Amino acid sequence: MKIRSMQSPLHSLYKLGFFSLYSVRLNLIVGLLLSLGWVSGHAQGLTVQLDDSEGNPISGAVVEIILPEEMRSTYQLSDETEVDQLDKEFVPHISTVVSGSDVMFPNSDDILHHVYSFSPISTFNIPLYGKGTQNDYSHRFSETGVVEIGCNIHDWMLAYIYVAQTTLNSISDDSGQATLENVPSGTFELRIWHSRLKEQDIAMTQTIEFVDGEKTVIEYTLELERDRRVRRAPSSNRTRYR
Amino acid sequence: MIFFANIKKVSAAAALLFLSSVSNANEFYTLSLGGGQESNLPRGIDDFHELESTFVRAAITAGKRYQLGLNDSLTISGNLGFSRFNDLRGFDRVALGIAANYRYKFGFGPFAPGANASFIYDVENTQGQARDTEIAQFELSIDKRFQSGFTLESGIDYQRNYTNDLDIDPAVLASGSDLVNRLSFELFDFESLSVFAAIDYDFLNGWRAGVAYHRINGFTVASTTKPWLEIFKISNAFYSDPAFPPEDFAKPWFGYLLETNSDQWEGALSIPLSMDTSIDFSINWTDIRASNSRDYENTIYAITLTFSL
Repeated sequence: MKIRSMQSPLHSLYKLGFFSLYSVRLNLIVGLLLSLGWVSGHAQGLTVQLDDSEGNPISGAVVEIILPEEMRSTYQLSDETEVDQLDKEFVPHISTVVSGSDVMFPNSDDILHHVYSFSPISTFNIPLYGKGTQNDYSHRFSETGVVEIGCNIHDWMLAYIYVAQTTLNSISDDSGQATLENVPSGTFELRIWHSRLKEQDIAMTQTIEFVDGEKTVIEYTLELERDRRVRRAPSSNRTRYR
Repeated sequence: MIFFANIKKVSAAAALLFLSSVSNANEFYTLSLGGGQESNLPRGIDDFHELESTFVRAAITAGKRYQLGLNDSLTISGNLGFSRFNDLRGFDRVALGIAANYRYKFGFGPFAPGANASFIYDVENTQGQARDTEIAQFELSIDKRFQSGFTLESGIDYQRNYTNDLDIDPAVLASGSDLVNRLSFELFDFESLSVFAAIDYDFLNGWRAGVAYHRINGFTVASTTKPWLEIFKISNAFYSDPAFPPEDFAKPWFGYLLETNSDQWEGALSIPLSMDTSIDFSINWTDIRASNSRDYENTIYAITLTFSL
């Protein structure tokens, strides 16, 4: 991860070591801008802009603020969500849930799918099932971390479920922006994860101080590896020998 | 006649396949359109007999995939295709066929190896009976994805060609062949066995490059205007080649069946234009060695547009 720009009037704070870095590969940004609109005494915002080395926005990255244990209960709202299977793809490709949440895996295709996870934090397997079946099935994700979901019939199908500690998480959109509102004041760890981050960066962390009423804007440049699985158009068959 | 009988059988099978697939989204339809150039269409042995031609071809495939269990599946498909050779129209052909592929996957995930058993049955019709043939092909292979982009496949392939019994060919007799101790007339009645290995690499942008190698022990049908003694000695069959009709060629051409060992290399690049369409470039080079130590070569350049319907 590389510095892209320094936009903040508080740049000097960075130089003085106001921020601490926990990732070896982390070459901090950072822009910290005073928010133009005062929200409330305790409601801070965070916007993270993620781009690749060519300046293209990176979508599908998860940004999470790691709160100390005593503060988590306010933001631990487990929920029920679903990862559908549509046109031989998992929809959505990336999901975030709070630990303790249930996820359903309906099949909206007219064909069979076979959902599985080998991920250590949650290993499961839903054998062959078709449309309208297994609608009641849900799997509870109790441990935090990342769960990789695959289909054993269609190898290119891939989904990630990011099991977060709290609701203070967001997924970057097509413009590469992940936004969090109502961040409490204090100094917390910011974690960034993307499925194609290089192994040593698989979850990057950085400590950031959130000051009352300030909106923090951070820009990162990430280096991503290739997709593990690529769905592609069919190619013509090889020639028969004569 | 055998062709039309088989056409009916295969058509019926293809129609059933089509109808049975309507109710299930596991079916697939593929249309491919292409063209290219083949350097030695008659498999001629020297410059005079090495005739090249550009070609266009089209094929449509309809198939259906059945998931049999947790780890195995069966794919059945029907195929109709034609090839037109612009400079040697006698090689034009229509092919109709069916194929079945059984696949077993050893375990879970994209890196689990797979084993495949395939049966393909094609009927090919040309402008003359001597080149009409039915092809039954059995193939066993294993494949494994080693990294995100690399896939390796290797296997063995048995191909059996059948043809109709042909009438006595006056031109063959006129060429000096003895009617009693004559060679077989059936050029496309032979079998071949090959081993092959193929490696594909998927680039990050979706492009796929592949190289395949086949080592083939089998037969080759070559054509000549000079049926000399050496050809009679090494041939297993000999007949007038209908690909060279008298109205277009002053000299008669004869086809002869040779026992051969071949090395075939194929390089291909497939560029996806969308999730359902790709354009493929391929080069196929075959070095054919006959028992008289003569070498025959053929190179095919092709570009194909494939649509998944």
